[in-house]
Amino acid sequence: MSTPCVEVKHLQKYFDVGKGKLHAVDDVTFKIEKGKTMGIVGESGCGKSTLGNTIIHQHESTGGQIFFNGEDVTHVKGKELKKLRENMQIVFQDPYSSLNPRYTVETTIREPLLLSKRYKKNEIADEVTRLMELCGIDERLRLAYPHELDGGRRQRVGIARALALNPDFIVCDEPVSALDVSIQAQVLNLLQDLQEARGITYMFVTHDLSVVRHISHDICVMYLGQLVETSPSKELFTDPLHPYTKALLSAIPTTDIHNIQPRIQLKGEITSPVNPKPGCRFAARCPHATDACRQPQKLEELMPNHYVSCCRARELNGL
Amino acid sequence: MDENRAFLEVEDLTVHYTVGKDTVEAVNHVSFQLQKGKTLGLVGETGAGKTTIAKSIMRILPVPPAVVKSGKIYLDGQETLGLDEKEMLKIRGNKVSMIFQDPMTALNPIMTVGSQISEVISLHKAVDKAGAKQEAIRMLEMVGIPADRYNEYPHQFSGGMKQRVVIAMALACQPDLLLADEPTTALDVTIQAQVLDMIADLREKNNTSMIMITHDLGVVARVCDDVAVVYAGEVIESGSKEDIFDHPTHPYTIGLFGALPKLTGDEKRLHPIDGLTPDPTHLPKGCKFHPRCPHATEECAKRDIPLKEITPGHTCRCIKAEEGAQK
Repeated sequence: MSTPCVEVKHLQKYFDVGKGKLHAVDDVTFKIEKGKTMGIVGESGCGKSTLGNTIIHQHESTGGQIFFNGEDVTHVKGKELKKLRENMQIVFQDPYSSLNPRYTVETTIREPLLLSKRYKKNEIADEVTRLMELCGIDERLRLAYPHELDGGRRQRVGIARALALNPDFIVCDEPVSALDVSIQAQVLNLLQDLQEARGITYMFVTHDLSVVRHISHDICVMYLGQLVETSPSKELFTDPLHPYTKALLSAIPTTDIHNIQPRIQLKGEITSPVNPKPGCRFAARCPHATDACRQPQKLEELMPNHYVSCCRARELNGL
Repeated sequence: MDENRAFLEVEDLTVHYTVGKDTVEAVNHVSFQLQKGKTLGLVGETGAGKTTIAKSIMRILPVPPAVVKSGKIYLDGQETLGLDEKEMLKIRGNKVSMIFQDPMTALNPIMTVGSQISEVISLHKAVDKAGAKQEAIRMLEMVGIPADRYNEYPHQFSGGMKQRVVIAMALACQPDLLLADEPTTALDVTIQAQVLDMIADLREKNNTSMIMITHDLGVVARVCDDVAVVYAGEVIESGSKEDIFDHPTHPYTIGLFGALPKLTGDEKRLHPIDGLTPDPTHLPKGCKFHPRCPHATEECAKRDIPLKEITPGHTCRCIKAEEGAQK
């Protein structure tokens, strides 16, 4: 097997808050193969954005290891970090606040090209043209400001900026959540085309399960900072093994009006991730919770490439 | 009062906003009906005019810049657009109430949630302060919030709980008509499912009619009886849920379904609708969708297309559908 593009082992990210430590990402382990897309799903506050930010070194990790193209990059600093960042980019959720309102489309896309010092002055304009073309931005919008663009076009500018330095890996943090359905499909197709053409590896963070199923090769499901299940994309939808994944999938409103499945009723609210008790954090809402769930859980491979962190998964699924 | 009218009838509603020299044609000649106890889904993308329609029914349009150009709204046989504000105060919050999209901004941050609910009750019902409080506590418990949180402030609640407070407030006076403007868009899927189930239960108890405004076709499939698809301020297709989901006819409706990633099947690529929603200050002539429509002909740009009934109860605003209906 070839070296995965990104691999994290027991990654942790805790934040200091007044009352103690907020466990935003707790002991997360997975890898993303080159040219593939890993979807990260979960509800708000489950740590999926923090996970992305920690991998690209926006946050410093509290514990664990991050490997990039086989190298341990957990603690890189200075020049090496700068070089690493050129190779790891991010597309943000909100195309309204992630673009500088005083930069034109051209200045926004040019910025990384200038900073990298890879290009001569006369090459930069051509490179901007090429990136705009690649991302489907009309040449006439070159000197437009973000407020003149609609959400879909702004997101294209954000993608062009992320692509500028030809990165191997892009974290897409809810890139289509702020867009309308018809525009969302345009942006998703663009991301897929770019992956095919350039072999980019994506980590696709979203709460939208139908989008993640469409775009990802593999999926990680997170709950309150913990990785509860990871499996190949389609398999997760046909054979979910973790009780939380099952509840999550049953809650998606589908457009198939003749086949509305009964949903699994979850009681209660998401508990606080500040100084959590050991054990499965979903146990408080889980219909199958027992005393064993209060013990720390292990991620186990129950089916090929299908890992679950639940002590009762085997028994509940008859495996 | 006219006994033959449906519970809610919106007739030829046109609302424009004046912005500087431009006129935003937000809602154009919209008509629809809603029967007692039923749920109508208003579906469309950002800027289609869904919220403006709801605000017209609530009579909370900001005037100016909004101008109601034409139209009549009959609620339980009574025309409401012509009522003066004093009479409208009795209806709003009592007979009709609205759940707003964003629970974070719909609540007053410096009032306790309990007092916000009891305020609505004491305004519309002949009860004393203690009675209103008791009723407010009952409402809170109905939406699954324990009574001992009556004196807490909105910031002490999570998003899903805040939305439940907003729902408790909207339902406090057992309205006959509930306008739900994207009530679950700001919520997570599992919480969304809880809130939708709760709204359905409460409606069933009181036989409340509802207009559900959403861009999420999955939510429509779950809660609505009838659907009206809105595009650029016009209803372009309407019918029962089965009509729209099983036999979508307007190219825009078909496009919306095609653009959606599916939960089953093996599609490699999505089929987006080309182009963008039109600028509401300069709407295209003729069919508003023709610049983006894969089947557009010259005829489409020439004249306004009327809504045509293609099967009983299923109407569509498209030349192709007109032809189909004549056959």
